[in-house]
Amino acid sequence: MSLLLVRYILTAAVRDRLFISFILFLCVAVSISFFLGSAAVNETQQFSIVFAASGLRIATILSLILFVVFYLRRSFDSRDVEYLLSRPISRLQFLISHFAAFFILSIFAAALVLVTIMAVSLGNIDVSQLIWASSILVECVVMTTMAMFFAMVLTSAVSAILITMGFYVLARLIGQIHGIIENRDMGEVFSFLEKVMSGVSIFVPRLDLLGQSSWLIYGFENTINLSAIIIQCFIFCGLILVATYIDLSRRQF
Amino acid sequence: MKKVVRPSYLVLLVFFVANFFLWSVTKTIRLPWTNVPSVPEYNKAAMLTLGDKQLAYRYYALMLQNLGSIGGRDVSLLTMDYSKLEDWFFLEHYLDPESNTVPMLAARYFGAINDNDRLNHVINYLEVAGQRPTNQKWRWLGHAVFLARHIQKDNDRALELAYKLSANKAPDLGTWAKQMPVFILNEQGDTDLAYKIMLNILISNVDTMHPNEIFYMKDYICNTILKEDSISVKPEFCFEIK
Repeated sequence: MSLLLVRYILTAAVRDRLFISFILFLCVAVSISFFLGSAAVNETQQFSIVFAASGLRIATILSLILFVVFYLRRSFDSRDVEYLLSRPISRLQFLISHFAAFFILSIFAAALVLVTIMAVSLGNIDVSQLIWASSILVECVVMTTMAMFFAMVLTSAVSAILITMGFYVLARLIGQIHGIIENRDMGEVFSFLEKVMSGVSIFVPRLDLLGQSSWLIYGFENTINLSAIIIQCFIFCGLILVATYIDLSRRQF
Repeated sequence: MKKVVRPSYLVLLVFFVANFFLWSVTKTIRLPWTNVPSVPEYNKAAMLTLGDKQLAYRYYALMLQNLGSIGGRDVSLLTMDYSKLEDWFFLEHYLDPESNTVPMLAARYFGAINDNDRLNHVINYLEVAGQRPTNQKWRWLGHAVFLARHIQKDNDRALELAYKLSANKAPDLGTWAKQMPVFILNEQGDTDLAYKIMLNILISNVDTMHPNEIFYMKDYICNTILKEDSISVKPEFCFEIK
């Protein structure tokens, strides 16, 4: 891993106004959450917390995906990548450095979200908030890895963003899809599609089980084996990183 | 020098006039009220919120709270389809059985009508929601008893609910909730059973109850349940109470 390259990527994030934009995003999301929460007839604080948590979750993922994809595509298009690879840095180092930089950005984003949620909770600080923010961090790491993969494989930034967002939606809904497949007999016509979806789900981490906003209201109850899901997410990141490395190592500049 | 009006300005004017005309036609159009929307299937209900059941619960709760009262329209509860509303209540109960938002909406808002058929749907939901022994949910079963007894005037249904209320295992269950079947039985004229239940509650809880509560129970037994009986058949503690 090249620390210099990690710093270079983090500097790019600062220059892209990622941090300021993200903080503005948080302010808007929290304001809307307070507005919606105050419209409820009771449990107004719970409403605000849930809306803020869900809004911040989406805002965080969206911010990171947009930065990762646009940064990488810009680097490829302006031949920064070729220049960097002409220096004494291997392609593996290049990849790991990017992963590390995006990991640091994810930690920053998850920490900001945690502080915001603590503020929205009006001082009711609980260990469940920490567990929730940690699982959001895992989600951010998975999605930045996916965004990095698509940004390197595809030549269009728009396509890479759309596919990454599509993957995110699928990862958030895969539990529901599994439930429908298991509990419904759709008949012969759909049995093929069920098998296709089951096959696809092998490559989709269970992001729907991470960051449940109910943990922020009723506390964390480990009924879903969270540690196994987090380990699965990191193994999935490894799989995607290897796939990205194979693509990068075969690329002709 | 003669000014020439460019054709593009004329076209702009034509579009402006056409737009103004259409605006005057469309500005009064409102989407019709199609009554309570159908309920999504339980395993698909959280898809809208990307699998977050708590967010789905809060979103649907706000929707229920504002049902029929958006865009300057106000819809009477008497025109609403309560069978669909009941389905919504149970969907919300599935999404979050702990919250008190939807039970409150069902009891205090949708339950604020004088229509027995519609109230049945509210009571059916409160009966289920109020049986959870957590988060003071028993209060909603108490409200269901109130609706059945005082609004619907259906003492049999009220008694059925009252038994469920008194059997609730919540540690903070109010004494009045345990006594609820007594009040209804007494009103129905079944004073023997009412007396036995009240006496049983008094004996079982005398060590933990506040003296005022004990006094109230003794007074209720002596001056309400046994008010028709002669002083000689009343229990001893009735002599202490005027």
